[in-house]
Parts: sequence; C-alpha cells; structure tokens
Amino acid sequence: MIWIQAIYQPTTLFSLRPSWTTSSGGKSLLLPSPYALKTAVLDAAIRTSGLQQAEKAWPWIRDMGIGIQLPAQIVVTNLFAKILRLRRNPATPGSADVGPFQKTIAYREYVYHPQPITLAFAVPDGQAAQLGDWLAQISYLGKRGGFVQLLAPPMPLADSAGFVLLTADVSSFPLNGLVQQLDDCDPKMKFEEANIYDSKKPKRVVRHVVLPYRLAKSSRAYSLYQHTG
Amino acid sequence: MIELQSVFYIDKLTGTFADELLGAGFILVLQELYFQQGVKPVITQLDTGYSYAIECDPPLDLGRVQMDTRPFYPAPVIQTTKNQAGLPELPPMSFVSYEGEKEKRNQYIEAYKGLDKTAKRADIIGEAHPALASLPPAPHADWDIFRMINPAALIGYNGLMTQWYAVGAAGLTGTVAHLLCQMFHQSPNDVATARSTWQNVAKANGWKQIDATASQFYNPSQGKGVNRPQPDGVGLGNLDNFWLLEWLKALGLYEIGFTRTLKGVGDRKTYVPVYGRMTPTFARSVQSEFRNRMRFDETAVRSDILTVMRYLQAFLSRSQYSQGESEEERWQREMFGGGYRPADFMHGFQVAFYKDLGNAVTTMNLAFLNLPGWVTIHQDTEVETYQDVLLEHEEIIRQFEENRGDELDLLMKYRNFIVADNLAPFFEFTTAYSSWLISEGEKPGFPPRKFSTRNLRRLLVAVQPKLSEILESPGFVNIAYAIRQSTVVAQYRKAQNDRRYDVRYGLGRDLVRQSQYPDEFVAALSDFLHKYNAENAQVMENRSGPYRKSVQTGDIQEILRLIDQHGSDLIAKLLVAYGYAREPRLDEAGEPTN
Repeated sequence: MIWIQAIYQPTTLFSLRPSWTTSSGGKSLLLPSPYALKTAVLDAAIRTSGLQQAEKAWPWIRDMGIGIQLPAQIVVTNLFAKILRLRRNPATPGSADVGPFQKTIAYREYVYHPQPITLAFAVPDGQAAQLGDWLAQISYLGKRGGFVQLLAPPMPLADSAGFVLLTADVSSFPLNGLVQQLDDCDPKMKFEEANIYDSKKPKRVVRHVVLPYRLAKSSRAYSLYQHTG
Repeated sequence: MIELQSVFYIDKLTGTFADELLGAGFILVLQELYFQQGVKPVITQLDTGYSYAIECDPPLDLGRVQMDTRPFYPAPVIQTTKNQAGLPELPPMSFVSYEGEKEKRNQYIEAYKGLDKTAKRADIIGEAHPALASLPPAPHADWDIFRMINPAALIGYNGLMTQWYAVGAAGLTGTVAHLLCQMFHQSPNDVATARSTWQNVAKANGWKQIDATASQFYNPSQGKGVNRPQPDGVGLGNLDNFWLLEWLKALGLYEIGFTRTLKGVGDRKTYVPVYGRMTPTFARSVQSEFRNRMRFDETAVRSDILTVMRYLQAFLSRSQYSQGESEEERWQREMFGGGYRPADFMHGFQVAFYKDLGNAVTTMNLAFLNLPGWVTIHQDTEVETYQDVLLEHEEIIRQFEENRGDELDLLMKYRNFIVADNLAPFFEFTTAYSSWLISEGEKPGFPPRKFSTRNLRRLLVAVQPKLSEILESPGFVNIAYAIRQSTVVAQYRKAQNDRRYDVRYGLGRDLVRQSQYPDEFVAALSDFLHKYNAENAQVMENRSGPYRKSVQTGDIQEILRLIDQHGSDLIAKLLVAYGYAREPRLDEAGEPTN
C-alpha cells in the first residue's frame, strides 16, 4: 500500500448531512466522510475513464484508507434556506408553483474551512498514478456546490503520520474531543450497490471518529470549533 | 455474584440536545433504581467531550437491579378525550388528563388576569400577597411539554409510555433496567446488544415495539423528511430508533427541558441545558427556580436572552451559601472550591427553534447558547454583585419589543454578546442604545433605563480585566462625565425646565463613527470638549449654579495616551458606553447603592 496526499482548497462552504438525519434536520458533518470521498473518486473514475474501468477499480476504491489533516479552526454557519419538498396535496391549478414540488424552508449548516483540506489515501502500489488522475477531477465534496480546487498534483507520502484516520478503528482518541459519525463503505459493498441506477441499496458502515476539537465560541448563527492539539 | 457499576457513559453522537435528554433520562432511571435499593447516592454527570460520564457513589448493584420488579412511572401517559378508549387501564399516578390540565390552566390564567398590579408584582418578585392565596391551583409544571406533545407527537409518545407500563405490569422492570445499565456501562454504548436482548424479551411477551419513531421534539435533526441511502427518490419519512432510547429522551425532556411557544405566534423554542459537571439534585433545584422565573411567553430573541440570563440568576441564587443547605448542597459548594464559574458546571443551552407552518412545524435553527463565561465567583458576596448586574441588564432588555425595527436590532446585538461572551456586539449595543435612550427620553412617561457606571465597570472588567486601566483613569472618567452631562443629564434637566445646557443629540454615534481613524476621532472629541467647556463658561458667567465640571488639559492628555495605547475604536466605544450610563445612587451615608 502507498499513501497519496491531495490538498484541496475549498472555494465555497462545505456541507454534508449525516446519514442518520433527515432533510428536515439539516445538520452538517464538519468534514467529508470516507463514503463521500470514495464515491467522489468513483464519480471521477466513471466520468473520465468509463464505467468498465471504474467498476474494475471499485474494490480498491472501496477499501482505500483515508486520513485528513485538520485546520486549527472550523466555523459552522447556521441558517435556513428555501428548499423544494415533495408536494403532499395537489397545487391549485394556475398557481405560481404548480408541479410535484412545493416551496418550503429548512434548516441548513455550512462549514467554513479556513485552510486547504489535506487528505491522504492509502491505495495498492500499482494504483497510485490512476488515483492521482482521478483526484484531479474532483471538483466538489459533500453536498453539490461544495466546490474544491486541487492545489497541486497528488504526491506520495512516507506514512500517514499527522493525519486523523477516518477509516480505521482507533484504540485511542483525544480527551474532550468531538464525535462525528462518518459513513464508510462496507468491505463487502459491491459495485452494483454503489451504482445509483441499480435498485440494490448501498452497504455502509458508520465509524465513530473522535476529532480533536472543542466548541470555542457559538451563538444563534454560528459555532466555532478550535483544534485542541 | 455481586455486579457493581460505578460509572456509566452516554455517547454524544448527534451534536443536538438528543444526547443531553438521553443522559437526563438515564440519570432519572438510575435515581429510581437506587431508591428501590434504599440507597441515597451521589450521582455526578461529567462532560468528557465525546460522552457524558455518570459517576455513582456508591456503585449500583446491578444484580439487585435485575431482581427488582417494582414498576415505576417516571413520565405520564397523556390521556385525551379522543384516545382514552384506546388506552389500557392505568394506575392513577401513571397518566394525566390533558383536558383536565388544560381546564386547570385556563382557570388559573383567568384568575391571574383579574389580579391587581400590586399582587402581580408581588408574585413576580416572589413576595406574599393576600390575593395570591385565593388563586386556583397553579398549572401543571409540565404543561408546556404536554402541549407540545399533543397532538403532533401524542401517538408515538403514548406508545413509549404504555410500553413501559406493560414492562412494569409484566414484572420485567428489573430486567429492562438491567438491560439499560448494560447498554450504558461502556462507551461506545452497546445499543446493538441491548436491542437484541429486548427483542428476545419482547418476543417472549408478545410485544411488537422494538423501535419507535424518532420524534423531532427529542431529535431535532431527525424530523420527518428525506433520508434515503440510495438517492432514488424524494419521499418523506420518519426515522426510527430503539424505543428505550426514545423513552429515555422523553423522560429527559421532563427532567431538564424547557419548551415554550413564542409570544403571539405558533413558533416554538426548546432549550436543554448542557452540563459540564453537575449533580442531578442541584440541577433540579436550579431548573425549578429557572422555570419559576420563566413563567410568561416571550418573543424569539428576548426568549434566548432571558433564558440564558435567568438560568444564570437561578444558578447563582442556588449556589449561594445558606445555613440551611443540605448535605448535597454543601458537597456541591465544596466541589466548587475557592472560586468557580457557573459556565464550567453548565456550559449553555442546546436550542431548537421550530417554525410553525400551519399544519406542521419545521426545524428552523439548532444552536448552542453559552452561559456567560465572565461570571466568576470567588467570594459569596460576589454572587449578589453579579445578580445586580444581571438584574440591571434584564430590566434594560425588557424595555424592547421585537415588533419595532430598532429595538429588534438592539436585542439581536445584545444576544450576540450575552450568549457568546463577545464584547464587540456589546459595544455595538451600547452605541445604538445611546441613540435609543435619547430618542425615548424625549417621549413623555417613565424615562428609559440606563446602565449604572458601577455595574458596567464590573461587567467590562469581568470580561476583559485589562480594561480596568482605562476605566479607572481620571481623564477617561472626566470625559465620560462630560458626555453624560451633555446628553442624558442635559435631557433630564430639560424635562425639569432647566434649559441652561444644550442636549447634544447624536453625540455617541458621531464619536463612534469617527473612531476608525485616531486623528479624526481626536478632532471630533476635541471639538465636543471645546464646545462643552465654552458652554460651561458661558453658563457660569450668566446663570446661577450649580455648575458642571469642566474638562481639564490633564484629562485630554490622559485620553490621548489611552488612545495611543488601546486604539481610538475601543476608547470611543467605552466613552459612549460610560457616557450614557448613570452614576450610582447614593444612600443616606453617601455610599453608592446601585
């Protein structure tokens, strides 16, 4: 296995709703989950190399180890946004918002990363170059619109020192840390289960990752998390 | 085999008040289990970041828990005229009649409305009054929770409570309580094993309840909405959780939650305290006093401010030394040590704001409001000092109505200060408040309330101790005096038909506006001081006294030094805050009272 580092500059705010919430809840994770990152790589693979090659690569994409370097501070903005929701009752004929959806409002959170997001991926030796190509094609993470820009070609790393591992069961974690429930791919998850055009449901596992953050300041509309390291 | 457990853990997985409710619900169950064993424990809830550790002394005997079969009913089934036919026959202490409680509340409110002002005032400040004794019984302490549950979440809620009743009736209270203790005796909590154990129990007894709908009222991030692992549709649905977790959250809401509809609208806010280190008995006494202080509906922003302020007031009053303190209260005080910050024991509130959309509600905001971290108690006498500060602030805040644009703006600025320990919005508030004070002062009626310089100083130094150098400087004090004399005092004199001195309208805003650049600020301040001294000289020449003090050259040199050291922005804002505050009243001995 070899570790590859990719540094992304977020150009918009990040948001990713945890899988244990509904769209009414609107909480956001502070960072992309392993599942989100792996499906982003799969998406880049399908778009640039074609379905067959992506399907062939799925087992090692699914099993990638992922680590992240965390910024000194993270700020979450609370707001409500206008959304479309499936209409329960038919609209009055001729009304402005006729159609299957109705306009409503919902709570949303957006996360500001003040520094670039540095990720590390563990892949089989022969796949490093391929992964590097696909990582360059990722333009957003999490909810659509959370745009990122790769700052430099992905580089090999000696090891994952300095990274918080998101895909491993850790035996020690920071005291007074902050828990994030992050989705990852189940080791048995097949390509068909990742294919959104297939009716098979994806097999996910939930990892409880304790991040070295504490809530430093907050008010009605924001929360500031400070790195405790 | 003796099975003793001294620490339990509640994982903080959601980042919402669902975690706190779960903890409070489980502590309630623990207390009941100890009670059944005839033991009076010391239970302490500690925040460890990723979980709450619940330390019990002496440890709980889990073997005895399992053997105990006595049922207990920590929360009632809510009976309504519609659902009473479908409910099982319940013992009297296990249910409440919704309509009965509603009627009781209506009678009380109707009678309360008829009280005269002196009786209402006596009630608010906690004094006795003959009219209060004739009031009907007060509404149920948990009425607001009943009202929230019925009708939106009634079926799910009653499902949880009747299932617990069935557990008790089947003599399985000990078995299920033991299951809960096993689930929480480690972190991560072993929910899977507990659920599987329950499945066996349920199967053996013919119960279908395994999971229950995750109500938005206890799980603000899990309301009815879209949640699909496969993004192939947008249909709405509810999420389910293990029913015992949901049952504990419902108990927790009664124990520590505070929920209210907002004044004049159907919107709702739910506040749940987040403890850093707390014993349930102390928490309950604070909660009880806090609820007593929060008897009336408030508007959205005022609600946030008053909740934080009044909880802190309740905390301070309960932490005061009293000769009649119980053993636990004494222990609590000893735990505080030499000096303590209430915010270390209770960090703040998890808040959910539910917007009323007519036939449904939606979560509009989830926030964390901090308890002010600047309140630190070293001596018992400081409790009274901070109570004074908080009371003064509360009286100022209660002047504002949210349906007036400028007052809403003031409230929002103040909220950003009080819930986030941030002085910048406080100075924005005091600057805007200076204009509001003068504007309201022109109107007939009771004059608007002002901060007292004494309490303002206490607050500012508590938040930023280095400000004491500025606030104690004679130059600063004298120039703030000149601002006060030219604005709020001049306006008061004008109302008394003393028109010797002009009122400088807009002075506060003008000074702060010029404070971005030191040169411009010094020029604006000099211009004001020049006019102030000239006006003083003119009045002294032509009119009788008493006269105002003039500003000396030493004062100006002093303020220039402070501007060099601390910047014009800070000095300008402090001058305005102090300049529009009132000096403390003096008692007969000439000592400042307030």
